[in-house]
Amino acid sequence: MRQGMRRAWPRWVAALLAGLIAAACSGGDDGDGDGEAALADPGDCVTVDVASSPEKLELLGDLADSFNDSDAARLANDDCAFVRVQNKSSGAAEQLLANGWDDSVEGPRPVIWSPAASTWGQVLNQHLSEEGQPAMAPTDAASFMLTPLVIAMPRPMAEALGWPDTPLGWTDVLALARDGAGWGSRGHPEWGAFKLGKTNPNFSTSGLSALIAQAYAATGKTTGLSLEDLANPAVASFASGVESAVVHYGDTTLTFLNNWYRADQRGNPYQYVSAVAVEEKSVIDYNSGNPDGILDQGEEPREPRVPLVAIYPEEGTVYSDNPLMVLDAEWVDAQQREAAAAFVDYVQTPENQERVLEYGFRPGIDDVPVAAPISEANGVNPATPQTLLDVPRPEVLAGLLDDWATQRRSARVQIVVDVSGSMGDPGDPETGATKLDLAKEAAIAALEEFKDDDQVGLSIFSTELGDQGDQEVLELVPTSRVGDVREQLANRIRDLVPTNNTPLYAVTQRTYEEALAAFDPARINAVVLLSDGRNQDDDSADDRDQLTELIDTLEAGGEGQASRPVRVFPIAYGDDADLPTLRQIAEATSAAVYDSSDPTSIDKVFTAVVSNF
Amino acid sequence: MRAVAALAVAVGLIVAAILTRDALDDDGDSAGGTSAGSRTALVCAAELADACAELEDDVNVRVEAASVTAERLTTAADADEAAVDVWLAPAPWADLVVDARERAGAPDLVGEPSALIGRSPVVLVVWNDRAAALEAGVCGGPVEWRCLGDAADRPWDTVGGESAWGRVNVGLTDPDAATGLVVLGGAASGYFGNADYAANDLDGEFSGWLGALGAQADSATTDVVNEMLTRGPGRFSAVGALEAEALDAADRDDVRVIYPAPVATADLVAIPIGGAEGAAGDIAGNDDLRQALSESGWRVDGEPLAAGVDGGLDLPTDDSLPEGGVLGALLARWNEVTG
Repeated sequence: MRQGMRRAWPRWVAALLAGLIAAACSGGDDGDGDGEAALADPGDCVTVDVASSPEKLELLGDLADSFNDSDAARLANDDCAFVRVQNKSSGAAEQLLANGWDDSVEGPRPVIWSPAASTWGQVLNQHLSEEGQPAMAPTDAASFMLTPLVIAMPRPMAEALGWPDTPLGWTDVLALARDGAGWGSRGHPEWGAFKLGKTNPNFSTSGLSALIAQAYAATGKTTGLSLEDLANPAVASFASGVESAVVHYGDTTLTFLNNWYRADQRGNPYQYVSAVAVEEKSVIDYNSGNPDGILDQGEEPREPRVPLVAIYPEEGTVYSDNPLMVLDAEWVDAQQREAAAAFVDYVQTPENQERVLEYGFRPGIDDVPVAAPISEANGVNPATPQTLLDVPRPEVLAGLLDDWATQRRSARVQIVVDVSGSMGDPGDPETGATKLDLAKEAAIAALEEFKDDDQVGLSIFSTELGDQGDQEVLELVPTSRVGDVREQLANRIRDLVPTNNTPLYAVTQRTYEEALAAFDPARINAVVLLSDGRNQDDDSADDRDQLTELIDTLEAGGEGQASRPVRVFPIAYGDDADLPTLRQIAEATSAAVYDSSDPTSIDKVFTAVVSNF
Repeated sequence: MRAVAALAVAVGLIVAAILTRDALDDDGDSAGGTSAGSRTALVCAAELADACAELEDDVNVRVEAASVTAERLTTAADADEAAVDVWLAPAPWADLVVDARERAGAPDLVGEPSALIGRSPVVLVVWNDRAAALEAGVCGGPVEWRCLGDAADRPWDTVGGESAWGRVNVGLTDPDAATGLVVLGGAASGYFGNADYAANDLDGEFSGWLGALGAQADSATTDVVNEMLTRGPGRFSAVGALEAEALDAADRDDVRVIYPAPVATADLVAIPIGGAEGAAGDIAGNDDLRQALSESGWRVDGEPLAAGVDGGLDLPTDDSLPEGGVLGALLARWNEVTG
């Protein structure tokens, strides 16, 4: 690592990038898409703060601006309304509303909450109910725009299942997941096993919607899903069967879409994943060559070699309905309600509803017909879905999430923590905590997110480790069932101290190869790699060769029909972390890199990483 | 009464001064202001400071790094806030700001650049023995950006050179500087073989290549050619710069000046801000400026070539650089990999 040569980006580039990064999170309801942009001054007007999920932030912000300048913002008694929109992903906002929204940290408490789907309102009300508090989310909120949950598949794979003539759904997914011959039973052994992509329902709207749809599919019902249904062993078996095909979870569908697209560009979209539960809008974005739904600076949309098609599950599906919920909260007064109602009316005018089509969504009112880009040419079908599912009652939703925690595919994860000397640098100036202090705290907290049946091991890396000072990686806790070693893991993490250098490449290679050797086909196999620096070992002359060999090794492990995918999820920790290299490592294993350049964000980042399991 | 007379005289003097100023501004050899009685505010990229000094009698010249001007123009609400009428810089900087403002939803501020004032191609300056080793080794032919980046940051003995030479250290003009962005764009065009690439192509493999190329980059080095020539091959094995910045190298027999394909060029233009097209045109046509640029190594139509400029090289019609948004993404990637 070159010392003392680090240079800040020019501020104008950094500002631009910050905007782009925020925008990049707008392709779906991502767990970490929250931004803290400065909010406009409302003057003497009645302020309506809106907490919006990221996929509609830009559109809703535009509409707020035009509303504020329009006659529609004039209220009774010569008052005026002023709407401000801030970015809050659905799951994060739900937790903030349930647990107490600290406006000094999270921005103003919302008058209108617009998560990606009404289901989040149900989840919120249930959480509040469990704490003995009244419901906050209305159940009859107006819908801003719609997009149904679909199962996206490469067109040839869908055709191998009989699409478009044969109705397909979760039952077919289950059959494929349970079929030991995988795609071989459908005439395509070269595609290997059936692999499913699904996000974590605690963070992601599409993950939650998929969970609901799976459960309904298991019961054969389209309404009235009950706790009794969930207790049915056949329903549980159905859920476990579907989950057994999951490649990994995560907080955002963008990880799947980006990895899939990258695999497509390399000429093989069939090995990484066979199907992913996403919103219809994502299929349109992907097929336009823009898998994350936003064109970054200098990016050029390039259509995929193999397009996706949207399968609308024959058992039924649910809409992400993007409700505009005027909260029944103690901080919302009558004037704000009036102002909020005016804004809700405004966004539902036909001319404003036509704008949602530009973003690949369906209008929320029937006055505006569904039109391009929602068309068969883009892999979606405007005439579907034919069957819609009722959103379950709050307690059933809570039961679904509880059951999922045990039914989800188990994981085998090696956590590897950089304990190089720089981890002793200050991480939080306010508390004096070092970077390692913050990482330890976050890692210990994240252990709670693993289920007992997951297997987790802990290693540290630096130089001159071990009794003889000749080791670069030390295994502190062998990979074991978390339920048996959670406390041991926490204790060993607490004891970590910063030491010497950062032999990043050698340690990643070694850890990966060990994970590959111990590969468990029944589990999600992964390495979580936390590093705060660039590769630094005793010999810098071979750094490039080391990296080339590492990337080749990682890519080779995930290729071929008999691949044993071990995914490496790096966390780029602190300002000096080698984010480009860590991104390369993640992409080589079709995983994702997590940016914790601000050390105080490590708790959120660790949670997001563990959401993959 | 005397007071009134004095006031009348004072007003007369002021009016006369304004009229005289306007007359001067309307002179064909001067750069006119954007409004009557005001002097054009010209911002010059730092590398062009000497040439811009020729304009100081006619316009208000401010010299600053291109990235600083770009920041101001990206974030300014209007030309008044930017306090710039004309910006003298290679054309891609205008594209970069236009792209950034478009993406931010900001109103148009940057006008159509003037006709080309001067051009300078991107060159590689390589020590003779190092160039020969690269040609016989990793390059397997002429030294080009791609193979230079492949060799960069590796021990010389692994790429065809001698172990005593240490590592392949490549220096580049700082990409935050006006000409450095062009050099960086030229290097990337060399990697891809053409300028038809987009941000999507700046993948992990490219990042690795770029990181190696920039492993020895140092924004504190303002003149990489001078640094290389004065400190020797231990400092830089090769550097990328503009031809106009490498005139000293052309005189020497221990280094080679190479024009790697595709030949990228810095196309210097006057960029009007807030509707100052007229002033930009005046500046672009200013004879003193054109002559000064020519003398400093830029290729200016109608002006003689300076010593060290390869008169036998025909420049391509376009600059072999990608569009502004791609250059912006490239600059961001550069800053990321060079940390």
